[in-house]
Amino acid sequence: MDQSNNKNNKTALAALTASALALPAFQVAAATAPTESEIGYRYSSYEEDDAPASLVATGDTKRYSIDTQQFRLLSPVGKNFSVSLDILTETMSGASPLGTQEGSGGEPQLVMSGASISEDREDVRANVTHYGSRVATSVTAGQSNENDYAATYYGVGWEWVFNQKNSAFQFALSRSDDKITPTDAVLYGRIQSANKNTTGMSVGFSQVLSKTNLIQFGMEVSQDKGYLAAPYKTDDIRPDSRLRTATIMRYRHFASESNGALHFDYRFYWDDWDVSSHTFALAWYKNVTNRFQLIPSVRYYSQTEASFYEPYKVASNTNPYYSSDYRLSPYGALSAGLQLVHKFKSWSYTLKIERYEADADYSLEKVSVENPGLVSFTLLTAGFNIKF
Amino acid sequence: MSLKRIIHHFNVMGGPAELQLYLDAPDKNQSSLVRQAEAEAFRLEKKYSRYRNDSVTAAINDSSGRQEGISVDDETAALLNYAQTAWQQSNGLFDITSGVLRKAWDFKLNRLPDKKRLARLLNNVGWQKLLWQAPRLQMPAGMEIDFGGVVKEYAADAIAALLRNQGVQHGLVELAGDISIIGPHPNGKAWKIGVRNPDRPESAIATIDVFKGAVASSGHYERFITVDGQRYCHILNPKTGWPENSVAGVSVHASTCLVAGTATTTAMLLGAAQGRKWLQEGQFQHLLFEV
Repeated sequence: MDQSNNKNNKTALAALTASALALPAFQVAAATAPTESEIGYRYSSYEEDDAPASLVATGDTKRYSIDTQQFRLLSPVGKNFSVSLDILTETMSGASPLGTQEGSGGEPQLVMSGASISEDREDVRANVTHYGSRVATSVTAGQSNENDYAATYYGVGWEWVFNQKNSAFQFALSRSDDKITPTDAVLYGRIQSANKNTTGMSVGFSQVLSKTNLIQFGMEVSQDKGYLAAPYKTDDIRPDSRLRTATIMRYRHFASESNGALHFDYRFYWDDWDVSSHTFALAWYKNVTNRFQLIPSVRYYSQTEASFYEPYKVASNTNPYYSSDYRLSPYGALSAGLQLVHKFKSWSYTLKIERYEADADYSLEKVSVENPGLVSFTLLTAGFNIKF
Repeated sequence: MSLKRIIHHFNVMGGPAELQLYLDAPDKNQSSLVRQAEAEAFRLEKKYSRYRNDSVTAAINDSSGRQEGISVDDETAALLNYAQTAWQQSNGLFDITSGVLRKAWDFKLNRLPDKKRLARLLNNVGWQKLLWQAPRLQMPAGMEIDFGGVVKEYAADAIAALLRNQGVQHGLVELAGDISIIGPHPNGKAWKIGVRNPDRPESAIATIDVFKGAVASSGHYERFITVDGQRYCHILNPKTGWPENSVAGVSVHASTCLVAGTATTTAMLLGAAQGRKWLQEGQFQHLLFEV
């Protein structure tokens, strides 16, 4: 054989496999109706690090901890439909920053809400999906309730598969109507009742590049309208509309020689409050044995501040809007996680630990004043799924 | 829930077929699953048989010489795309147009073909002579295609995929020696696949452990004639019209039976030395026995 033939032959297995996988019998990936029912349960414990005492002017140094329980039921109905129900309950406790004030040395200090907050949130979401030969259509409705916040959510989505199922196009619309009724509103002069709504649209395109490579692009645009400030924060005045956009790229590579899959995700976010952010995420789904999967992951995040963000309120501020919320501050964050999945017959169990740390020093741009409210947390998750 | 293994035999595509499935016991869907698996095999047999005049193969071959060619369905188009890739990757040796050479070779008579006749038939062989632009195939008069080299392997994969989609996690599908794995035994153990001894095809020369994917085998024991002490096997080189007789048997493990089958056929045609080299360079897991 000559050189060119040798070169050609090097890819024979990959080329043949890629071509074989285009055959109808191998296409199970996209828009395929589930054939089994599934029940899943997850318990998560989210624990924020306590705020450093030196940064707290008044109040409790203890921050949030949240216990979450998630229950999921998925069931096929007939050949072409599936229904799913997701129920989530959260119990939050801890104190949340009320605001910041200037410390004696000019540094911002946190004012923590004194009384510890303890409240529950419940979220129920139902979905019906119809799987046609090329198009899957899904309708979702949900309701979330807390003692001071209620949200109703609707969504509809389509997925078209084409090009011998090597390509897929996704389109989705969503709407959320929220009602905010802060507690002790009269006592503390908080807003007594406010409304907010969000309308969103997303488009996505996925392409199988080869047997081992898949790429996905997405765009999301959403418009928030109404009361967008944080009702428990003092001196928090924000615009009543916010246009948010995100551009997403996801890449999946299956490395057959090491029996693992590499997931790389990048997200660019921008909104018309001038917050922009970059997120890079990398995960390695390693099949250790037929039954054990280990998933180490890392994520990096960096955002710029909102146009009306100030680390603390100063008298000379002439901007009609003002917030010192750490979520609108410039910062960066690093997180790392390790997840273990064990499959046994129709059961699978999972355990995950994730550590997240936010810091102004992690930001891509230099931050002169760090917001003292930045959080660091540890998230532990345990759960199981059963198919039947 | 306990699983029990059922073994079901049937005949399709001129050969024996076997399903080994672990199903919940008792499973009310058992007969339905077996019926669906058989139906898929018969569907593909009927669709691509060269012995039936209502098959897609017959329709395509009837269209040879017609200017407008023939427009084929999605599944056939995907098979033709695959055949084209296989032809390219095998440097033109795996060729679904080579079936007409059977008109010169008769493996029922111990007689070599007429050389003039073989030379004439070779004019009608060669994928490069077709115009294939999915979904349209245009074929010069006198040419034929034969899905025989791909459809049995594809059927094994298709049945395995169908059963997997129906929730079967453990089992295998075997069509005349070509095996597509649905999933390992319920205890996680691999299937032990026996590789035929080319000289004593009823016995295994090696056993390989297979958890997933597929295994296809080919060998000079399958169909052959012996003339003057020389064995001529039925896998014919589309360029010369003659078999290459230096591979006694070859087995390939790949993600699909279709790919594994293409690799064994190509190795048979390349001969022992070149075939081994091609398999190694193509990164196929294989066992190859020389004559």
